[in-house]
Amino acid sequence: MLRKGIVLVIMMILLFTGCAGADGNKLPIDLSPGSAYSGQFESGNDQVYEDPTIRVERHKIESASDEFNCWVWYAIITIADPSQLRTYPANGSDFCKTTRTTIDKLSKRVRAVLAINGDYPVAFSGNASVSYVLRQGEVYRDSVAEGLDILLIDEDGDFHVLTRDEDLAGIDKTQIDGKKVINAFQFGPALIIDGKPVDDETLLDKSHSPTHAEPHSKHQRMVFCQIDTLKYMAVCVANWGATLPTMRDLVLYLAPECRVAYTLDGGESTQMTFLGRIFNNTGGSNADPRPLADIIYFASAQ
Amino acid sequence: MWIPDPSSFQLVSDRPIYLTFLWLSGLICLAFAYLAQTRMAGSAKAFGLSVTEAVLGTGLGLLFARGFYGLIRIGYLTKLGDAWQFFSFRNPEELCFFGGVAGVILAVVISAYIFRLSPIKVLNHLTPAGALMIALVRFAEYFLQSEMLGLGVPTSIGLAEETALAFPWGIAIDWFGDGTYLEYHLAVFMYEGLVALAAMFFAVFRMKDRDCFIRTLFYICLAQILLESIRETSIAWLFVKAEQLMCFLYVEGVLVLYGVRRLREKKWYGILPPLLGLLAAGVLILVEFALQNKIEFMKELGPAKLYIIMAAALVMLAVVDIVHHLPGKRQE
Repeated sequence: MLRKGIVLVIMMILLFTGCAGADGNKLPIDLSPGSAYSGQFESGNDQVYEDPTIRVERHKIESASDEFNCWVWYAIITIADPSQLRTYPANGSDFCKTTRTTIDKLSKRVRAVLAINGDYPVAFSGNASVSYVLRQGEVYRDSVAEGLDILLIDEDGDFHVLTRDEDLAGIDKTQIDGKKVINAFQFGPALIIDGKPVDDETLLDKSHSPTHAEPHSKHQRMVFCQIDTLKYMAVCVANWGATLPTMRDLVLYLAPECRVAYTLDGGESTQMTFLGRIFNNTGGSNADPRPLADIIYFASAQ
Repeated sequence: MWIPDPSSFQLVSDRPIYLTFLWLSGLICLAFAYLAQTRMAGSAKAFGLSVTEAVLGTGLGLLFARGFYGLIRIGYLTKLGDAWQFFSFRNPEELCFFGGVAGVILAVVISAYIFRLSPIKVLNHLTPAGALMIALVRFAEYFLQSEMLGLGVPTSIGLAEETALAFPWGIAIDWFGDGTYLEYHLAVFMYEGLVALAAMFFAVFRMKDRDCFIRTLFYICLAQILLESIRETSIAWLFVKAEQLMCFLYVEGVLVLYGVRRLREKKWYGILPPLLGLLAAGVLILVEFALQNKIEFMKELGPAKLYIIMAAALVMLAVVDIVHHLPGKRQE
């Protein structure tokens, strides 16, 4: 009887601590930073950071292959909880303010293990200046840039694309398939939707891209992908960049199982940090990085 | 002199304190303005004038501050398709500082006409109070987190990341409050406030000069062209920062005025002030583009030298102003 009692108490303790552990691995859905991490950036083309809540591996492919003919930086990220996929504005409180700050500072402010540029929601002019802005569960701008795909990331960390052909203004973008949307981006175009590559003709239609969709328009680009449940990839290119169809093929080459791939802001805004240090170089050897208005980042929750 | 430890500053974002600071600053400046105007128009008239200026100045100041901001971002606001957005006063960051100044100037001019006084005389007597108001408003930006974050990038002027300048020149933000991540910034809002304070003293001793007002604003604008370059929070039209452009347009306008005065006196060198203004504009554009990595030319000089070149161009314009006002030239 006593032995059964002890076992019961131990089981209850285990159950209790197990639940506490699960709660402890969740980050709040707001603009607060992630948990502290203990790694340091190391030189070289490849590095892995891992703790019980997150694994990030970064790579650089320097040798230009015949197929893609550009430099490629990419990171594969696996997280334990969707709340570890987060966004943060340079302003610190509002995604629609014109403040811009360098990505290394922004990533340190939120203790990002990996950070990439966002969709530049403060574009001064053009269609993207009225893009839909929903970040960390809050709608910051409820307007729509006509003709641009929208990427929704739900509370489970799954990606959904609302394509340009849909009634973007009329659709409820705060929920998708009965789940709350935590982050939404409008830049695009989407390169892969539900595992299906988008065709060349659609990608090269420049009326549906914020910039540089022309067939010979090779530019620095950033693509954000969901590979699997809570598994993501960020890919960017430089020297001398890639066209949109090439980017799609590159994503499929790196992660054939990719579910969704979506283009974010590019050009000299194409930036990635790992453990607080920029590890891609898309702006030239001596150039200071262009300050950014927003970042997407992955944080530890340990 | 006691200098607080720069690393002791925490992030501050307290809008009520900011607004309280603004109102208190307004009252101080109003009292200052009343005293100055008493010397000019007598106490009874000065009281009426000050109250009218305060009421009109608040209304027109806010309206113009928002209106200028709306004009700067007209493309964005019209695309939103919501006319109310143009007039919405959501937060202090969405007001154009120089629009506010323009609104207050208009309010002073209207008030002067109402009380049958010379607008230029009234403006000249109000200049020290106005400069003090600008200084206090800039100091109050400490309480706006977004402004705090728009301070500047120390590395961009050649200082090491680890180098913290002592307050008020630099400020270190202890991001997590535990010393694990400190960010060092140039305290641009303090520089702006100190420039306005210096302008106030300049104006106090030149209140009776015909050009007291335009010169004081001229020097504030000259300094702002440089300071706006260091700020992170700026609205840019392509690669030109909007407030830099506005400041330069004012400066060039004053130089044209100086030129016209000399040409009316049949002095050929009247063409020089506006020409030197345009020359400085060319230098400023080149430097700004080089700082923003938009051109290769001059880029290798590095930020510190580029800022020195920018400062030299602005000092040249200040010298033009000083030469124009050398003793023996026409004064009131």
